[in-house]
Amino acid sequence: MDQDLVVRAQHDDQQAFQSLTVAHHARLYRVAYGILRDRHLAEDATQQAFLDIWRNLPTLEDPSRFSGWSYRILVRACYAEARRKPDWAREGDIGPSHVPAAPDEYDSVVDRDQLERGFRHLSVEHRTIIVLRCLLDLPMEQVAEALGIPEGTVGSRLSRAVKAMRAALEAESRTSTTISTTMRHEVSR
Amino acid sequence: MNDDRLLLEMRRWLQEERVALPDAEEAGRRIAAKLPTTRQRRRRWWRLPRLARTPRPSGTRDTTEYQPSPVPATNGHTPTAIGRTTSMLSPVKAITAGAVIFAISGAFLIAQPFGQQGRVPGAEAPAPLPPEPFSGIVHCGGQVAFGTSESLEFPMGEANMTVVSERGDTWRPSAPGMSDPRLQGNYAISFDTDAYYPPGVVDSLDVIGAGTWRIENDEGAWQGSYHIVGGAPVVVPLVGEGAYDGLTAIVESAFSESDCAWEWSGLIIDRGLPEYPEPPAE
Repeated sequence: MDQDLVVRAQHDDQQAFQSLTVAHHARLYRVAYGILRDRHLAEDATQQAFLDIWRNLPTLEDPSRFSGWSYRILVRACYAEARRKPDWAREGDIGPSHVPAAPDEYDSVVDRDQLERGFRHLSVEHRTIIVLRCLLDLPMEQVAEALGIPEGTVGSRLSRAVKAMRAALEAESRTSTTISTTMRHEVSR
Repeated sequence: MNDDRLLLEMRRWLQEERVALPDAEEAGRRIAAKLPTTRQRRRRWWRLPRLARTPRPSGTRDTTEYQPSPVPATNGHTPTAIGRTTSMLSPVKAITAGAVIFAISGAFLIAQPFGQQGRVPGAEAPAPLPPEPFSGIVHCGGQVAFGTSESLEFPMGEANMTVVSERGDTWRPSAPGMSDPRLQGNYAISFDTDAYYPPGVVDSLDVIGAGTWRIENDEGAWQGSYHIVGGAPVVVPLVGEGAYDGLTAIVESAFSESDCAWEWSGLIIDRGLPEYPEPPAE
């Protein structure tokens, strides 16, 4: 079904592409939100990705590879969106797009908010490789394809991303400790 | 907590996170509304002269005898055949190419004694290699880098001319059957274009393109750039690197849109291209 839509859209069938958009929008938006952590930026990136997909679709040689290929275009759109808005890293909303899970659903060593704050300190490249690997569970080969880098580079970039995340979490932890100590001093005066 | 544990935590966090999704139908409508003004890329830059292998009538044996039948013109004038009407691999062309190669080789042989006057043979620079002809098919390959596409509108009469500039695309063709092993290896082509669309025209009128070929193998590499305007044929000088340092491959490249392949032929010469001459004196 999808392949039929892809082939028709490759031949300028706008109706087929609209159906393709509806079918794949949630999948791509989920990834864009995972990377950008902001629903407005994620919506813009997803829309731009679909327009880029439309523009480049005739160059896709194997319609069965549409899903993996579309990640690659989405990643580029997310990079562009991050560059377009310099303050994207620290901003971002935890508004209507983000529905907190019930507390008992999340029994973790690292707190969810800590992860969120630490993740926001990562570069867009590090966020992307973590999202592709952890959210989508893509194998290394497909991560390499989505990022347009050699397969051997995926492992080292992922390793650096995890180290950066660890450093961000430790920095967050130090900041929290300092703030709470300062507050205790203020209160005790 | 080690790296694997942290990865597990992040996997759990990302996968369990509940994200409110936008209305896909509404998003689809918004995107669809932009499609009429978003042109699909049609690889216009590949619209080089087709390898017009005109089918021969059955029973015709000698390709040199065959010419397309003139179609009687309605105005009584003798029609003029425009463009390529015979195979690129016809015996006539092969003989012509052979003669050209023989002439170039002869020129090198004649020039050699003058260039080596006073030298002890084999004691200094090695003798230049004779020119080596090559040929082969370069097949289209997958796109490995996706660039950008930007449109500019210029007022033209009551409408606009659109100029679409595409930059940063790269493909990986392959040429396993290239006759000269020095030109075998990993092929890549990057191509940028400016396509000019006059008002009301869907297909681009003119494409100005700039391409760069690169071939890499264990011994060295070749690289060369060229420009095209519309469907003009191209000659690409590939400059050798590594073991091919000092060599130049002069490639005549003709693209077939139907086969999605370039037919390459040319010479590998043991020298660079001649310098451009000075402008004529007044």
